[in-house]
Amino acid sequence: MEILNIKNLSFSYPEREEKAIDISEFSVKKGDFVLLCGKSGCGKTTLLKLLKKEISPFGTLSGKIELNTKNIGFVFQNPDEQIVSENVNSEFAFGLENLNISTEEISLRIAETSSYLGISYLINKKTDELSGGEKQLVNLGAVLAMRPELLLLDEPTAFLDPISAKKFIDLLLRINRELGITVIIAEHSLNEIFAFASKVCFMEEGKVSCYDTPQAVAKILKNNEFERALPSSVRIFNALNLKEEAPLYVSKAREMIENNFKADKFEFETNSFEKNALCVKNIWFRYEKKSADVLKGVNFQLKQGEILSILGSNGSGKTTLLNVLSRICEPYSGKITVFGKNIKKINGNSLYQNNLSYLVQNPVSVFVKQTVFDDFKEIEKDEKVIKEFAEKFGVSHLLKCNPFDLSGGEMQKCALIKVLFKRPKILLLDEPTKSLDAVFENELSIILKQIKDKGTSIIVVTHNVEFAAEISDRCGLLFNGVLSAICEKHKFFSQNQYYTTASSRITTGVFENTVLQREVVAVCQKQKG
Amino acid sequence: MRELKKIHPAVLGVYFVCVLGILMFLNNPVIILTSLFSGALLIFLLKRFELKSLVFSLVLLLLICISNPIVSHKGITPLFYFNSKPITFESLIYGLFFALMLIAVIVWCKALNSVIGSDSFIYLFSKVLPKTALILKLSLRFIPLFKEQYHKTKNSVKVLGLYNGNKKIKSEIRVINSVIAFMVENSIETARSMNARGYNNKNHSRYQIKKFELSDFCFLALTVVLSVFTVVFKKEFYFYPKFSTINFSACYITFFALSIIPALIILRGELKWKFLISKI
Repeated sequence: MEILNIKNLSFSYPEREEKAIDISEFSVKKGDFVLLCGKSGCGKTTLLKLLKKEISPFGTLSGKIELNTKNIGFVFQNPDEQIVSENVNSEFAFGLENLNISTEEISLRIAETSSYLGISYLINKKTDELSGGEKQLVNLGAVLAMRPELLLLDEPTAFLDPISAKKFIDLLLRINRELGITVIIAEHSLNEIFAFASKVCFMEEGKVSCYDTPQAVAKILKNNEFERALPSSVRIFNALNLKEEAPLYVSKAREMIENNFKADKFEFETNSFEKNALCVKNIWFRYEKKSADVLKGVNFQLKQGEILSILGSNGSGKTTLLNVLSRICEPYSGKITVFGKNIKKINGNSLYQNNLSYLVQNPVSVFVKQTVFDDFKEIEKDEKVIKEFAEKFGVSHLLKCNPFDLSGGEMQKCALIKVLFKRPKILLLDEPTKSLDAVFENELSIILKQIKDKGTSIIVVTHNVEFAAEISDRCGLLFNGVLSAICEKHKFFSQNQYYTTASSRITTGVFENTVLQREVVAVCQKQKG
Repeated sequence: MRELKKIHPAVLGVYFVCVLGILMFLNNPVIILTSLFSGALLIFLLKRFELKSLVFSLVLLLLICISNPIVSHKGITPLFYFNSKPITFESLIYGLFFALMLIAVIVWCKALNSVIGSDSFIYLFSKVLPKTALILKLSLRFIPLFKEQYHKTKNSVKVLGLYNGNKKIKSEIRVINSVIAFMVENSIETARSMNARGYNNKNHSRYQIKKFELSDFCFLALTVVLSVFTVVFKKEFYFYPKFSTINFSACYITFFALSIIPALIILRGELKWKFLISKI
């Protein structure tokens, strides 16, 4: 039985000519797990919001949306913004009170839902004490307690680190399988979820381009710009033109490689860098006198003109390290030198002028003015230069926008440009790929490589293993306040078995030094001749 | 602490209103000293005693003690003349007790704050003023968000080299502006999330955090009886022009009994626990 039926639906926002949504036919079966994907701005969010009457956007709507249920739950992207209450307990109760349910039943439902999701230990906490992942689980729980039959999720993992994201997706799949709740989820990172969806809907410019099983969609998306979002296993398969079924996850892809190819090695070039841009010696740091040390003797050098990635899980001190390097925090012991000069002896703002720049996580805080142009002008006085930069990075059309109206990717790009106006010699980036889709991620890596080629040294702190493998020259792992030996990226990722790229996991034991999808493909094609 | 939290928030609310009301309106030195003693004891038992607030209290005390006689020249016992105006003993003592009363009020409010959490407080409100309660609830949620965003913004403005240490006020205004813009954007999404969870439905129920039990009734009855006794047997006290004499009155006993209840409840709980442990 179908839970959702859409016929000839079209929708456009006020004062806009183009249609945001233009779907001739789309239906979802009860109990399905539907993955909505597509580039930013393709209409995923608009479609989801149209399905939930209470939050439908204003505009002209025509066509028919037929829903066979009234109980629809909605989980939003940002974990912080959707929380209403100060306590987890009352957050759960909020929706239930609105359903006019008695106290006894509310207690029961809270108890039941939180135990099912495994978050009962959070129930007495304050909502602002939770981590991003925990907040999103609470949001999911608060919606599930209202017993929806259809669950809509708008990029729920965009603000989470990969581990929490995986946990969240696993729970969703469990809910779908065990409770039979229909799920429609919009996502931009498809690695974890693609293989398990019962159907994938790919959208382009408000239209449904294809709507089929993951296997079929993987084939259709071949050579599409959006192909980068697909799991590595699928992309390697697509590039090799093999005739079998597309492998949707690592173990399948491994089987395919083992069956078709023999052991081999990828020859990589090592760039050698000489001069030090930044030298960090034995840095110790903690936030308060009595708290635990966050950094416990960090040592490393950043060479001139290289990209260094620092990976690590949540709470390993990655952001703290950048805060220390940019003098937001002072270490209590150790020495940092910038181009041979002690950082403590650089006066006031001259450290940030044409020297060291830092782009913080979630760059909303970088913007203060009404338009992006005014924001740029705050740093770069020359309007010509602003236009030149905007042209170069492809954001000319955004100059007149309000920064708050930009999408995650656009905002990240504009914030980066704003920082680049400082003409930094050293650039620090904190989680630059957070909430970016695959297409923007690719653009960002191209930009960063351009900047690097002009001689800027870059430190990227990230969870995103694939991104780190793509852009860096060297990588290091920060764990428990200590930065492990930093080494060349091929060496780094091929010696790791768990903390490594999907391509490397697919080929361990068969190929050596293949950490990127294109390197795997190169080795395979060499063998095929 | 936990023993007190078991009591129904409405009852606790009535209790604190009674104590604070008597303290502020009777303005009697004995009552003030009594409440200060039992309030301090309560704070100590609640483990909310802070050196910082003690220092603050002492500064406040000193400030009022000095300023009151300078402004007010009532009273009949001049100590000395300042600017050809008399500085009187009565005015000095009035200042002292006024300051002590303020400190007692602060101490009791602090106890109130730690005993009745914001959730119970809102719960109490939501019956009478549902909309105000909701706004309060949302604001409480926004304070930590605001703080966090403030730090983030300040840091990012700093590393852009736009935070000028010499023009601190201007730089701060810039940061706050940005944070406010962020919060406004943020609140739109919060409103959406509320709508998505049926806030616009006509009928709402109220999730009762606690049930009204017999012990709550006893506590309430005790509070009311003791408060009424205190007010009925109250003794007027005048500082000006000359102190009235302090005679013994039943109201002192009843007020002491009233103000010591929470401390006793906590002590009883702790003793019971100690006793249980020694048995094990």
